[in-house]
Amino acid sequence: MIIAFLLPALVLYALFVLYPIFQSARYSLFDWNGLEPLTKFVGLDNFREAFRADQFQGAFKHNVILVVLSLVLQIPFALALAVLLDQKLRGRAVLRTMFFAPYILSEVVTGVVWRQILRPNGLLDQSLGSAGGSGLVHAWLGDPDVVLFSLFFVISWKYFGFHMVLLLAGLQQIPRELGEAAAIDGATPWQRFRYITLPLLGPTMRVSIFLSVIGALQLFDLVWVTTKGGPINASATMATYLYDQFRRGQFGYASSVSVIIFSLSLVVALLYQRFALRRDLQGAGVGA
Amino acid sequence: MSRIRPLRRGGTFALAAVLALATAACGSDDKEGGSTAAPVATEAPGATAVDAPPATEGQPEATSAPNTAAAGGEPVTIDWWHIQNNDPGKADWQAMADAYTAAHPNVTIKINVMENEAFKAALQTNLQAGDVPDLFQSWGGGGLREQVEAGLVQDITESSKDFIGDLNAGVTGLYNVDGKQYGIPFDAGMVGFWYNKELFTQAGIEAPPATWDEFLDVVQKLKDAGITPIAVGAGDKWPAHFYYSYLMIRLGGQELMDSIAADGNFDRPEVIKAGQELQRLIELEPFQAGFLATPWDGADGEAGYMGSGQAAMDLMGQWAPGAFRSAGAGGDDLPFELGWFPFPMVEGGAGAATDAFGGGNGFAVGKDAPPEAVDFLRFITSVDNAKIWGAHSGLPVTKGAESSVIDPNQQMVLAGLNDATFLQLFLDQFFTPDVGAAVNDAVQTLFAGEASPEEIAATITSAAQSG
Repeated sequence: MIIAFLLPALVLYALFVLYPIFQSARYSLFDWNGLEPLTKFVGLDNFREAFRADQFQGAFKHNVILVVLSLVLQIPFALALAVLLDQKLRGRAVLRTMFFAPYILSEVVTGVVWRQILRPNGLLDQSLGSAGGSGLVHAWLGDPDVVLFSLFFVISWKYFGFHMVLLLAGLQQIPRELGEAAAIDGATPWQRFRYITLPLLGPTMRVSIFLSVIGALQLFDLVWVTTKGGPINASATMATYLYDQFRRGQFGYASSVSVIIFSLSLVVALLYQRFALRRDLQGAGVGA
Repeated sequence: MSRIRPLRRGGTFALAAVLALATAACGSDDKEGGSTAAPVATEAPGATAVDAPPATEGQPEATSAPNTAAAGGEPVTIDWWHIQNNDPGKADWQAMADAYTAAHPNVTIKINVMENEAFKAALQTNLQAGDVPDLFQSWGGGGLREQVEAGLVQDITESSKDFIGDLNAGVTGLYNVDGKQYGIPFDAGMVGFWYNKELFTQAGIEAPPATWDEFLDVVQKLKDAGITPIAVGAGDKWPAHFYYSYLMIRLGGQELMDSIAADGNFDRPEVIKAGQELQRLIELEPFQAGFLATPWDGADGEAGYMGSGQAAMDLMGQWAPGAFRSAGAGGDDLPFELGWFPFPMVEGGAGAATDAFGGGNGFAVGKDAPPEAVDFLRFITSVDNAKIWGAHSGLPVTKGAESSVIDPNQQMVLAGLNDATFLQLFLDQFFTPDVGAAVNDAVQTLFAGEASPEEIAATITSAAQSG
């Protein structure tokens, strides 16, 4: 009976998820330009080529940099804001909404808007100029050494609000009594944060980190719209590299790249669940 | 906050995460289905946006009723995919199709109009499924060659021999693969320098440069006058590849380009010299700020800089003035007088001044197309119909239709094209998409000062010879 109810969803899942993954894995073993019949079987050559390709290694490195920056800068920033906006503060509802607003925008819109802001003599340069900082004017998207960080800024601008709201929700689930009791026992605000808030916020933090890592690994739209991975691939991510290979008609090779990205994301996700999220998930069945 | 909910229901979280991943991953895999990818396509926008003199009043009339292919045969349908999704081009094609079917009642023409990028994606899907349109937009070159090798297009050498001589031979040659004809062009153009006459006057430049050294002098003079000499959309890469390609053509001529086409070896003295000459230009810092991230189109693009009078020169095809107008001032007229001069000669180069670099639009004939499809191509490229195209949309390739082009700059482009002793197709269309992309990538690294001429020649060669 249950099977009968599951069947439609199962068919859809098989057709639109499992089958394409399988096809992708199959194509990845061929040298194929997308037009001719699938005849040139090359085994794992595509994978070897991908692991050797400087551009793919570079793209992977950029993904890693973005992951690290997200964890080191974006999430602490979001946490700080969440803690701040968890206090009784005049206008905090407005501030919360404002900070969350960028998350509502699509990545494409974000990319287009920021391209205008960061363009030479754009809003940022003009603002810097009129604030007396014309020495800081820079080719934000045109300088290969800077573009990845400009992009990270835009990504953070878009996503910090989401993490902030996530953490805020986590903060509000922490019983106030704990903090009050600790305060009566003489705990300083920092001690209360360090020994009560932070540990109890653990589960939310871990989810936030998880989403941030997976998001950074699969980053595509925003990068493509803003920089197309350029200049000279200085802001390419694994996903823009993948897309570029499809555009070049390298369907077999691009499929192998997609298999690599998929496997990588899957492994990261599974490992993270196994080691970081396990405790949270076990507890989840009982209460909360 | 639906994203938090799975946390509370631990069991589903694992599944949800894997599912999300799987969907995300196969979002990319979709592209094999061709639904989102545009793989065959190269980026040079030879496609639409040809600078058009203002359209004349009223609906175009397709005159010259077809005279061959006797009416009243078996009913046939021609499935026709084109990318003129704006008037007047769209209306002109419709009028010509109507005129043709009126004269041939047995023929039905099913027109499928698509935007450029959508067309490329849809075509890829259909080609993979073996469901080939009878007539479809083609730029010739490496993309067409791949379709020929996959057996998707028809050899029309015989069926087109009656009328192909009426067309510009250099341009029809772009649709010729290994001596066989697979398509027919309907317009063409070439790349040259568009320049702002007022800025030239301001900098005290009397005449457009004829040689590369003179050109570099002009660049320096413009710089000295505080004017940005050149707008280039190196972010899109293909606008930058024009410089590299043209220098190769000027330095090595047809002989060089033919031998590169034959063995895929770019590691030749002329090619390296082309890179060095280009470096001389780049070292003058002649481009607008942040040119490595600048696209071709849009107000923040190459076209915007040029169209708003912020740069003096722009190396681009015949479609450029239209883009200058829409991306620059935003009005119908440019705020300055636009001029055109051909790419300068390079001292000591083997190329002729009449060697041209460009490309055009045409139609390839699908493998199962009826003979009427080729006859229809004869019809749309007949002098009278080519004149309609010339008056409204682009530069016609039919001999005798030249008079329909009114704009003096476009007349110069057309004359250059008609006098061309050799027409080299855009390199990113001439080679397969993969090699074309390698050329574009390599040129961008040269513009960024991150690679030497020797290195980029070697990089392109390894891409060209591995395929």
